[in-house]
Amino acid sequence: MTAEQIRIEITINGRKYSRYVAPAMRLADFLREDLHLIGTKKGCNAGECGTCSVLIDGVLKKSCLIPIAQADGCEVVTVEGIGPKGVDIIQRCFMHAGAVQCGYCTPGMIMAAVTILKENKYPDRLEIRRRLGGNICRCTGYAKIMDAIELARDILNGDKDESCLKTVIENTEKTIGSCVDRVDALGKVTGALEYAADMEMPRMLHVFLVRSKEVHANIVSINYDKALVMPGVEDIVTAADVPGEDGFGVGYQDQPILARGKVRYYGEPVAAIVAETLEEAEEAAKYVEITYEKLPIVTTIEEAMAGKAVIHEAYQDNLVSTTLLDKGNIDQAFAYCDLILEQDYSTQAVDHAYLETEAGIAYVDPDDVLVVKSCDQDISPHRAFLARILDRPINKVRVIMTPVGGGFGGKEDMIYQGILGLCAVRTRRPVKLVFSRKDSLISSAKRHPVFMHHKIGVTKDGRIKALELTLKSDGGAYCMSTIGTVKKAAMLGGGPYEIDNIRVNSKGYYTNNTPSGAMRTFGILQPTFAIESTMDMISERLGIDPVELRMINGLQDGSSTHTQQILGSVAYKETVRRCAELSGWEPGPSTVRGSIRQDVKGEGVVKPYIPGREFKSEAALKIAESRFKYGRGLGTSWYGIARPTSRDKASAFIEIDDGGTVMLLTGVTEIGEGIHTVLTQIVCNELGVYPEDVTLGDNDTARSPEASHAGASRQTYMVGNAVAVAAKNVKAKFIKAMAEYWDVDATNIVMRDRRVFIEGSNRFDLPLADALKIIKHDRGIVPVASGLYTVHHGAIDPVTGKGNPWQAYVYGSQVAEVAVDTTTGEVHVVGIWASHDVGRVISPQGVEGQVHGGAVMSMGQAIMEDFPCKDGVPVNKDFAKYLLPTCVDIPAFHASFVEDRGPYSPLGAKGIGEPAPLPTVPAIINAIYDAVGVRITDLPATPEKILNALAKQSKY
Amino acid sequence: MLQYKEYLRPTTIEELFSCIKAADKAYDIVSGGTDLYAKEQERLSPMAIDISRIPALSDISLEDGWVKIGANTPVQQFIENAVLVDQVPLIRHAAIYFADQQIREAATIGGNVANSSPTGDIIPTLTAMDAVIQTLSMEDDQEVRRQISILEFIQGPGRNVLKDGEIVEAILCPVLTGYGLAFKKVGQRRSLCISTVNSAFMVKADPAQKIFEDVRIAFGAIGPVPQRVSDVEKFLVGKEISEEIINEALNLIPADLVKSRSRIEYRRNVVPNFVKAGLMEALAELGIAL
Ligand SMILES: Cc1cc2nc3c(=O)[nH]c(=O)nc-3n(C[C@H](O)[C@H](O)[C@H](O)COP(=O)(O)OP(=O)(O)OC[C@H]3O[C@@H](n4cnc5c(N)ncnc54)[C@H](O)[C@@H]3O)c2cc1C
Ligand code: FES
Ligand code: FES
Repeated sequence: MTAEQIRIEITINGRKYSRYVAPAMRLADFLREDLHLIGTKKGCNAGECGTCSVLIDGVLKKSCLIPIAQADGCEVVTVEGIGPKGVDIIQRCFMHAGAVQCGYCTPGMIMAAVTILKENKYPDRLEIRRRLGGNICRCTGYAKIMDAIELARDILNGDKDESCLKTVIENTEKTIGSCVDRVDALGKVTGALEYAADMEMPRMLHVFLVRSKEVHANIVSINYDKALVMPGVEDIVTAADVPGEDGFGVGYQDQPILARGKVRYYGEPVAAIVAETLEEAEEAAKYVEITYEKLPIVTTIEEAMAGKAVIHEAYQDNLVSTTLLDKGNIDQAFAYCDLILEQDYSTQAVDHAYLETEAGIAYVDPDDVLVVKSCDQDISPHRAFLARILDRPINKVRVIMTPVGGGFGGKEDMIYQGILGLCAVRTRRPVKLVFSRKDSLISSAKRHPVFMHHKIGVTKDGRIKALELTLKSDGGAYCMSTIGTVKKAAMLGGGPYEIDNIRVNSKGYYTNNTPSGAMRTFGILQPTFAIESTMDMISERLGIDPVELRMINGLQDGSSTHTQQILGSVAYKETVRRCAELSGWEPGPSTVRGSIRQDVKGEGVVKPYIPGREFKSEAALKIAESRFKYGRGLGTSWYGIARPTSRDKASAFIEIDDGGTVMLLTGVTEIGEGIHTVLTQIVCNELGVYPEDVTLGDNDTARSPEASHAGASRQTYMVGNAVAVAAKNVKAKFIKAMAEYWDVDATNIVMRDRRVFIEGSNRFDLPLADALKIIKHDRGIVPVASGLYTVHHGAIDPVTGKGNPWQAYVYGSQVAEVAVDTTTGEVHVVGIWASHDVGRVISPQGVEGQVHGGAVMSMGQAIMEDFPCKDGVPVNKDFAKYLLPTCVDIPAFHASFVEDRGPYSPLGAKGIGEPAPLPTVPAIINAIYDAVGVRITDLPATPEKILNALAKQSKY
Repeated sequence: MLQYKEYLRPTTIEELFSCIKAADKAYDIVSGGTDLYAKEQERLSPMAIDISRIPALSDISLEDGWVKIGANTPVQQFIENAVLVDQVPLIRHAAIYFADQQIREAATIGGNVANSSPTGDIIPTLTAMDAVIQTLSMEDDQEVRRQISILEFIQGPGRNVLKDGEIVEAILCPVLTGYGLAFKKVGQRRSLCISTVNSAFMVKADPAQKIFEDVRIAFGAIGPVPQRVSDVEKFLVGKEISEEIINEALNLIPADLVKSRSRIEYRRNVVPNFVKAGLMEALAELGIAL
């Protein structure tokens, strides 16, 4: 009955365990740490995410909130216990339906799915939605998860045959464009895949970070003598222990691995405690004494500009960077405009909120190589930083990417890898660091809050003649990616329009807020929201349908961009047209016509989610529903693919291996987007093999050639093309060798469907495996090759911004339909219709998944997510307060893709990861206006802002 | 990461009170644990006394027109348990808005009441029903029970009249039949959502469905403690049912009903909307359409 350790009897996945445990321990920790059942994840440790969901005596619960003492005597089923014969139908449906991206939510989702189908053989979509309401997925937008559960329901009920789960590829040359199961899904649906936080090593130590509770302060002293002698403590590390040249960052390397001399934001790590257990490290942290001398806190851009305090000595004016664009002559142009509009906009900081928090392990291997394994989106530059910071030769640092449970740009900026490396080097033991959700929220980079001003001039016929665009980005305490986002926002922020006269001034500032960094769309979501809102206002003022307005001004073949680049083929208007068609858009200006439009409340939307629908009376529901006002809005966008204004490059190694399999090695960064599947498809198409024949190498600086980061929507374009080139090269070698062996003309030899042959010939036709044997053993050739793909993006002029920053652009349009609850101001997004130009669809499920997930992430930004700082201190430090869209919040999706192949892309593919979320925010914001006449110009559009505005409307 | 240093698991009321008596440090009573385990370590006591294994605290019984609901009853039971759905249907209306089903399977009504958070979603329903909180403590080896009305029980955010060594044993709800019911809640999303405003409505009409016979309106989350809107209730009782009369009643909502300092304008805007919506929906549940 009492304390310390108690003995429990517990049945897990059918096996009885009898263990001594600390009774207060969370069931999730017991499963993970004591039994290494790592399929149960911990995304929040507070009941808010569902990554830890397990069955306890048949009831689905969140194991992070269950004291192990309460599970004593219970029967627990985890994802490892699903499917007596390995993989259950439900798991296969998840793989088949594209329900898995990063996989971090997947085990919890599977447990929820199992429960839903166990309790009701025929759940409808609404019930599935409701029952998934406690499981967050940041990647998929939930649609394909619900599809998977419906598919499983139908198969289990015999309404569909199991055979529908087979992948059908007509022939290997058509692998590109076919729906193939994700190649990395198995480990995700079974829970077997180890993410960094799941990894363990013998003699491993644990790191706990002492973080600053000050926002801006000089560090007067750090005294950790008492902490050092606490039980289990191995080492305590501060900035003073850094052997090399400290400092990292994508732009300026202004960030020390541990605060050096001063702290610049709340939560900045000051000291790292390394101990035998995390508990011991955390306990010891209480005895670290840090004395600070407070400095004035710069909380806003205005204060930064006014010089309230200097945050970095090297940047006395608190200015990170400026990018200017000047095309035509705006001053003259404004003179002959019929309408000039001026408008301010602002956006909030939001978090990437990947369900996998930052985590990694590091150790020094027997050859004195420091190995840092973490969920890292950009290993090559991080290796270079680590080598410099730790003063090691670059080949004595090896950086390995572990499976990434969601990235969205947030794992592109290095944050904690330096600390891990230093602790490993000093202790000579493996060390592990895992961020709590709070750590992740307060100390990982955010999407920049941006303040925007438009002055736009148009003529009566709707032509934009002049645009003056001012952008001020809050970069937070460190530079990270701010230079890049400021620049990209300048180049693309004017929107997908041909404007003869445009002037842009884009600046980034240092403040003492949580640092801003790279996040999906890299600075473009914010100005897209603004310009597309402005377009809607113009539509209203001039009485021109918003679709029509895009047709008048949109980029087209041969247009000159804001950087005066002359474009080739432009699919922008095609996306607008398709999107209008797909959604059945009723033409008309944006004059708050939601209540009279005929295209709302149609077939393609979901009903606003009302809890208790199942037991409320029809009459009561009717009343509840009568308070919704519907509206629709349009948003459009463009985006440049791959790293702008530079030589972007990627490479790959490939080998046709024994048994006719293929080994592909690239430094590609699979963060859930599905790039492994895309690369596999590319290889299959070229070499005539099946997806299961392809082995993918790790993203490891000591093993794979550089492919650079997951970002700039560059992976399919850059790495995909590098792989296509590598596959072509190895194929050429292989075919040449076969031609010599057969003594035939190489040009006639085909590789397809696991065979090497000459079309129509019986003599020259071999299984690939046999051909490989011949080439290896008979000819003595190992068929290996490499591939390289480089783009030559031009710089832009520092004054006018003139230049060709990209060679490939993509375009996208979305219509959103909303229902606004006029009693509460809540917005229900009920439908999204999207049309995107992606160049070429390689994985249909993959691009759809990006659109769903991207749109839902943007919906979060549009209506609920917010990461404000009060006097520099983050307000929302957990998932109870930092709110993400759940399954009950999401709309119905409809998507159509335009395939305008990139002329410089051998594959023809361009990209979709970042373009997908771009049009959603303005589409929703414009729809809200259409519904209730409330124009939100500062995000997010909370119920509070909307209802308060509605109340004012009714007063006047 | 760090959790309770000491964790006790009494299985009977007697054991519970001997644990409490012997406690040499501050302790938390743990029931479903959903509030406690979601908190940061610094806000927990060094010791836990887990009451989840005491069967007596899960009893549900009917007596003299009252339902006695054991403190350990999980919130999900108000949706699934036929007795509860029948006898206290109002709580089902609130429970369906509560967290998500997985949390509801663990979270208890006793925890919701004892936690006394202004945003607790079960609390307005208890307030509307004039529920009574039955507490239990041990004095001189004698079980001592107190029955305290919910409005008296809750004293402020996270504060209530529970004394040291006293627990919530059960919630006593009067069985109220013939009412139309509604629950209205708003937060920032619709699942796993903390209330910005929540409210419970009960309306009873005369047999001819013409006259308001009883009206009960309770709000939570707009101040430190739950509140009834008695001015509106009193005004409506005896009046003929119509939309106009409801509109008129909205003017009687006290100006200072919203006491929270944050989002005050918003909450003030929501309250009359909810009063109207809640009454209309409750009437609709009675088959009275306006
Ligand atoms: C993800 C999540 C979502 C949530 N959503 C909601 C929501 O929508 N609406 C809502 O109202 N709440 C919500 N909560 C809060 C919480 O679930 C409820 O307050 C719940 O009712 C608490 O019950 P419990 O049994 O889990 O309490 P515990 O965590 O066990 O206890 C809560 C408090 O009450 C005390 N206590 C418990 N039982 C007794 C007793 N019998 N006698 C004396 N003291 C006692 C404990 O000491 C503690 O202080 C949510 C919590 C989480 C983690
Ligand atoms: S880890 Fe348990 S709900 Fe998030
Ligand atoms: S796949 Fe759901 S969180 Fe990544």
